[in-house]
Amino acid sequence: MRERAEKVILPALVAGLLVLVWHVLVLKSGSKIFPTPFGVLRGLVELAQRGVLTKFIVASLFRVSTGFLLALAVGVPVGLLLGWFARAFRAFNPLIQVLRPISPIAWIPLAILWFGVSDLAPIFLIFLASLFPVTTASMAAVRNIPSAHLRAARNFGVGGLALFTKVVFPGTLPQIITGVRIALGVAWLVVVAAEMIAVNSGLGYLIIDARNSGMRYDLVVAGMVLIGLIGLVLDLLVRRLERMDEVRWGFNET
Amino acid sequence: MVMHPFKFTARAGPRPAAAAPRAKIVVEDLWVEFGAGRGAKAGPGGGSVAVLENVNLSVAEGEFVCLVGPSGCGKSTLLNVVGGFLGASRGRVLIDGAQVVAPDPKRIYIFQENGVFPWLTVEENIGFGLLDRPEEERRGAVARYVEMVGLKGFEKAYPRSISGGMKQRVELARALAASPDVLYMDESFGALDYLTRMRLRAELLRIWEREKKTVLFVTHDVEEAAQLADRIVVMSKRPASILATVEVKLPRPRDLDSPEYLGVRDEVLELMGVGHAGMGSGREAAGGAAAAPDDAPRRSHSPLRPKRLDAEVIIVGGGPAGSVLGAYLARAGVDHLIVDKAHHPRAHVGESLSLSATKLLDELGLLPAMERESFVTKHGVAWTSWFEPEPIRMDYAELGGFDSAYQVDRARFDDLLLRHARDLGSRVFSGGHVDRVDFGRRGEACGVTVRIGESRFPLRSRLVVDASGRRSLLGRQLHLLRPVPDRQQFAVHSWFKNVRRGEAATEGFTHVHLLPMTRGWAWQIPINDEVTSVGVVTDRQHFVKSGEDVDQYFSWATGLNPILAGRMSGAKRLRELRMDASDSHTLSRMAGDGWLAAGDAAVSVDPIFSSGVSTAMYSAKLAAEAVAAALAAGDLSGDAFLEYERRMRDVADTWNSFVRLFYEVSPIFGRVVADSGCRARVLRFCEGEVYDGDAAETLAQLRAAFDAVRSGAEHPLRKFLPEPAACAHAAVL
Repeated sequence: MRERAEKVILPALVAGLLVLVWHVLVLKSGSKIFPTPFGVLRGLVELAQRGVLTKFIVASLFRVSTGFLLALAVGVPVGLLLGWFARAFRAFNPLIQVLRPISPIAWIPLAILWFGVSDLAPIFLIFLASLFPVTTASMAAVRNIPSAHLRAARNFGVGGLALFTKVVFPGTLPQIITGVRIALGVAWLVVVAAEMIAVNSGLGYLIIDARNSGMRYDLVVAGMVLIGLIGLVLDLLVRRLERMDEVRWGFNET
Repeated sequence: MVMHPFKFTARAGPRPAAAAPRAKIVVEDLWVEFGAGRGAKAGPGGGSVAVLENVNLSVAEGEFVCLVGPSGCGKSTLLNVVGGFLGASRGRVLIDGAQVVAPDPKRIYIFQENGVFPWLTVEENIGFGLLDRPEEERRGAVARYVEMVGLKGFEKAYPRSISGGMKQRVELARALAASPDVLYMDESFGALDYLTRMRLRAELLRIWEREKKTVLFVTHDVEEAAQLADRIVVMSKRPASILATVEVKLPRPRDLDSPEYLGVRDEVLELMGVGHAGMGSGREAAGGAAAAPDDAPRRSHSPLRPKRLDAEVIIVGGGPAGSVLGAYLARAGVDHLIVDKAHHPRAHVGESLSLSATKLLDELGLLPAMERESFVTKHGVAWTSWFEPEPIRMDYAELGGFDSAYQVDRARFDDLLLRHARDLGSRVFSGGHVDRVDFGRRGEACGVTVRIGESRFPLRSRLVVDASGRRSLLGRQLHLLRPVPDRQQFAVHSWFKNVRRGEAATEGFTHVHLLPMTRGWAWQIPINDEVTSVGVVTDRQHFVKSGEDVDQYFSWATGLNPILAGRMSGAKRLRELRMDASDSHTLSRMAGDGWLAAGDAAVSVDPIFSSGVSTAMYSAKLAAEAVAAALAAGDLSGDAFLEYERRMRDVADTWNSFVRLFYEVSPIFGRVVADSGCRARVLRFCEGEVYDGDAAETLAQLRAAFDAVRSGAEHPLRKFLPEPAACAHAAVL
């Protein structure tokens, strides 16, 4: 019970302390530009009153979910197939390993060139960013399936599509979920960067716009806080997947 | 290889198929090479490794054949080729006359337990081979085999939450459910501990006798082969060929001490080039049983100890006493084995532990684990009296030291203790019922006989500790049980909702409600935020003479104390009232040559004030000290345990005197204690600290305080005590 209480109390203490230090430092420095914690809070209220708070959050979430789900739809099947067929793996894996380390940010000029200033550009960037973690995780997962499982399935006469749905997919699911978690984290990182350049809504846009139109650093920080909190919520949601009975075996219980 | 002169049928080379009644599996002139490409022509090609050479084998329908041979010799390769998972370089395998080219659901290959699918439940795993059958048929088959392999109650469990032995049962059931004609078993029990392996062998035989499958079983454990097989096929080192086959014409289950069995075993060992010299020291068998010739040199055993030992110390029972004893022995580096009859999960019964248990749990390093389990804690005791409006409150904080004790779910608590012992190094064998303790020629205990289903087998040790609980295995076997005469108490209790718990400060306390009758009292223990356990302890005679039924008696008795009555008004009972007798006993002897008794098996005290578990744990600690000292000194005679017995008897005597005193004056107990000036000491006593010299003094002081009430006719509390004559029954004022 003590442990559980500590889990809440300790982080709250640290955060409280940080806010306090922040507040004191701003007052001491006499800065006119950098906001105090209350300034940020007021900024948030102002955004809510102007009606852009929910609008921007929804816009960002929409881009992330679209790009991310597209990446899942492509990455998981492709990863599973590449992992399963050794020859395909040999053919495509080097290409994947070359593309993978290129930061999605580096694709921004090409995205603008191809998709113009529209929702499509950031969605494309998010798609790219989440595609690789999902694909490589699925690929590795298939290659790691214990041979005992495949042998048993074969022995019981399970093959073809049934082998995929009954053994390969459930057997790789925990590793795929780990890939999904990483991918979602990256996607959320990228949406902010993408929105800073190509669009006129969303949390990334909020930050860059607040700075450009009147040095509103209170809104800049407010945007940052929102991004952090939403990122946390997204991660917690994916973590809940790890608790499902069908995949819990793949995660160390803590 | 030097061949020994054989006195049995040994065949090398082709075995004529006609020799078997009806050949199910025929292996003809089989050669396998690795690195030469599958199906390539045999021959000493460059870079290829010959694994099997000219193997010929015929297995009859329904026959149980074991393949033994040195590790890495190619027995598994042979099984893989027969199973259709691997191609031959030359030769062929026929089953029912048809050549094997691929695996087939009619012939299931059972590897070690890691073939179980972790994403499916036990029953889904078992039904895996039946996916194309109609739902109803599948469900029927699954239920049948769940039952057969003894997994009932675990159908919905996932593999991560069951033991290795249970996973292997799942594998077996999954294979059987597909109704194959042939089972291929590849070191199937090899990853399990010795005792689980013994048990699974027994069950495999039981199932095989019922289902009559043909079994081809690969093992490197010669004892395993000799226990199981109709015929043992001995293979040579790589490149392997069949060296000989040994028929085993012994009835099952086989007596592992019989000369015939030992003869078969030694024959096979001799064939493998191991010979008699080291076998029988048994440690190897217990530890993983590699009988491979290249494992030499073998340990030779002392002539004084012809029997193999399964452990230095065998502990009968995996309850709190057994587990704690195991934990202490593990810390002391004493090799021991806990034989626990209960299969988990155990029954869920709430129990309140006394404060002294907290101390022992701390000593064992278990408090963090207790916290993780989120057991309810209590911080004191409150006594309510039937003639006073205010409860008498006693906080543990008054005592210094620990300020909380636990209310536990016994199933979870016992499991926690046992797992802890196992983590520290105790070997645990669960699911075996100990029939009796065995004694040697000189009257010394030398082990136990364990029963699993219908088969029995002996386990040998230098010392046996009976921690079997109230059942008191040795107490009954040696007729040592002595009931404590005037202790015929029993409890009527149940779980309730909406019990008022009194003022907030004592909400989580254990409440002892005193009643205006001697030999009776009531408890109120919070189980969780909503549920409260309430029970009445009373004299059996009194209840019988009252002529009431249990419900009437319970509501009558709880109505005798106004505070309790107030708390119970509006309470809702959640289950039937239960009655538990709590007869106390002690053993007339608690130790002898090669044995001792610990916990409830030795001294079962009246569990008032929740002393049961802490007494068991404490006596286990004493026993561990005695055992470690005796082993170190090399003296395991009864004399070595005299000091242990004396201390146990002291504890029992002190506690029994206290309980007797309590029952004589129970109506005014709380008030007298509160006024006695030794309140903290009495509280400590009630919380189970009865193990030091202080205890006798406390007891004397308490007795003096009570005598003052009883003898002084003027004493203000005197009128609350019943006349001595009225004590026996109907002692209601």
